[in-house]
Amino acid sequence: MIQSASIIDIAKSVRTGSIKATELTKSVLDDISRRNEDYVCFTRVLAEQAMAAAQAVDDQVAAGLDPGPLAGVPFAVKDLYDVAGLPTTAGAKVRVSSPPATQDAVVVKRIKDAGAVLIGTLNMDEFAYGFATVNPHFGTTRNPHDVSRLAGGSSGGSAAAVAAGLVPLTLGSDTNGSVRVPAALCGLWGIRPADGAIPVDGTFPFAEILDTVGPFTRSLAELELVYELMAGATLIRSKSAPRIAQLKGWFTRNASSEVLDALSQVMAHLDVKDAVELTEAQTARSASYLITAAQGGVLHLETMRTRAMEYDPAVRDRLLAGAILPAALYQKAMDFRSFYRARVQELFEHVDILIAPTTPVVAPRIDQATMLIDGQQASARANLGIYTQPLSLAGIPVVSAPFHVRSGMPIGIQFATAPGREPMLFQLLRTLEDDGVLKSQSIQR
Amino acid sequence: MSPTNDEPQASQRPFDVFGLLNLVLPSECVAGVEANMELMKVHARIVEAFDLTKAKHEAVDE
Repeated sequence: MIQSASIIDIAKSVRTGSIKATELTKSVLDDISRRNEDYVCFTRVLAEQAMAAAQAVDDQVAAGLDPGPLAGVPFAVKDLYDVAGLPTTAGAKVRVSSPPATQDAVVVKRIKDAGAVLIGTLNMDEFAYGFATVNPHFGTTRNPHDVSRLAGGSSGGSAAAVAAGLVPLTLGSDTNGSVRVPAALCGLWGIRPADGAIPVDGTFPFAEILDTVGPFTRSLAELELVYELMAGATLIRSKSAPRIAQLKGWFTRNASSEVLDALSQVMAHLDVKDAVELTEAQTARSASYLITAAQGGVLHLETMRTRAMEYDPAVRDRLLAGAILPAALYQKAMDFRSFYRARVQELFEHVDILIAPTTPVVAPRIDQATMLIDGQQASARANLGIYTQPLSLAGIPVVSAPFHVRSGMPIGIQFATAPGREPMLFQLLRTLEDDGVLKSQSIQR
Repeated sequence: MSPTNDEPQASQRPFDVFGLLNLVLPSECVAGVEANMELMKVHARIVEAFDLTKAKHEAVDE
């Protein structure tokens, strides 16, 4: 049932009593115990806690009460969200024995308060530092569309769990693209909200100035509903016709032919020929790279003084390099950020929605995790986010939407707007989904 | 001169770039950090090359 039902339909069935949350939860737990090892999504399954939460939902329905808009909906969270009673590992061995969280992260509480049932925690790149979900402690998450390929990262467990149909809703985090990249590679909807639109309280930080949190779903209606619940705000429907442009230059350089073809089809369907170039995009990507490394390095320096050898070597070496970045360079990157954010804001005086690919390529193979960047093979783990990073630095809301791929691996397209224009963005996406241009892919079982 | 018991073993050597980190890592880790520092330099050059003062003036002129 979870394979095809939306969270909206699940909640409706639970609220009306046509299915019981406990039966649904048990079915989901059984499915995870059978299939999780195929994809390596879950790091912890909270069976007892989930069954108790589901029973509470059933009790509310039996008493004539409304459990909420996500009644009985099974969901899971990236392993950097605080869950009361559990250590927040952030995918790291050094945090496995850390003190348990005393309360749920703010958005975990909001989703639970809406009636959803927390099933477990999900795999990620250690400390969210990567675009691959290759984790030496918890394993490599596999793409449900082809298990020989990466799911993307760092919220790879969150994306793969939804794409595999293990749960219909998951939460991830996006600092430089960690929701958008795995959403694209796994054929899902994902959103990086505008800075400050959704509280990050109770999540383990990475680079705090860039950190955001967002959901993964299989349809736009689900994404909108969960976005509103996470943000604690209702979006007003927009009737305005948006001014749309494609982002050219940096955002198409290095893209594969199949990704460019998907982008062309979206633009042709919209009958939009306008394109704008954000000439500072490459600098923005580099500034993001430096700011992330420096802030991450500072955050971890004390722990690394005594426990560096317990880190994933690929993460540790980057954090150490970031920790010794000269302050003058960090400041220059931060100064650029201020300028760049104003520059992007100016761009939105002339356009409402900017469109670009999410990743330059479809999911790379796990055993050949490289990609061509400017004619040279480069690490996919570090470079899958070359189109997402410049938009992160701008602090604007961006949805990665699944292009309707008839055959082959999923492709994601980014739709970005100015903060406050999210209703206009969702309206455009509704049209494209209704027209069949955007569609989440289900795996064949 | 022979090493004293207080000195690091051969498999470990002080990793103390700029004298700031005061970390002791096995020597094989140093190469990974140095490789990342090289990558960091590439990004640093791109940011350094951006003339923020000029860009701000141009933005005002527009």
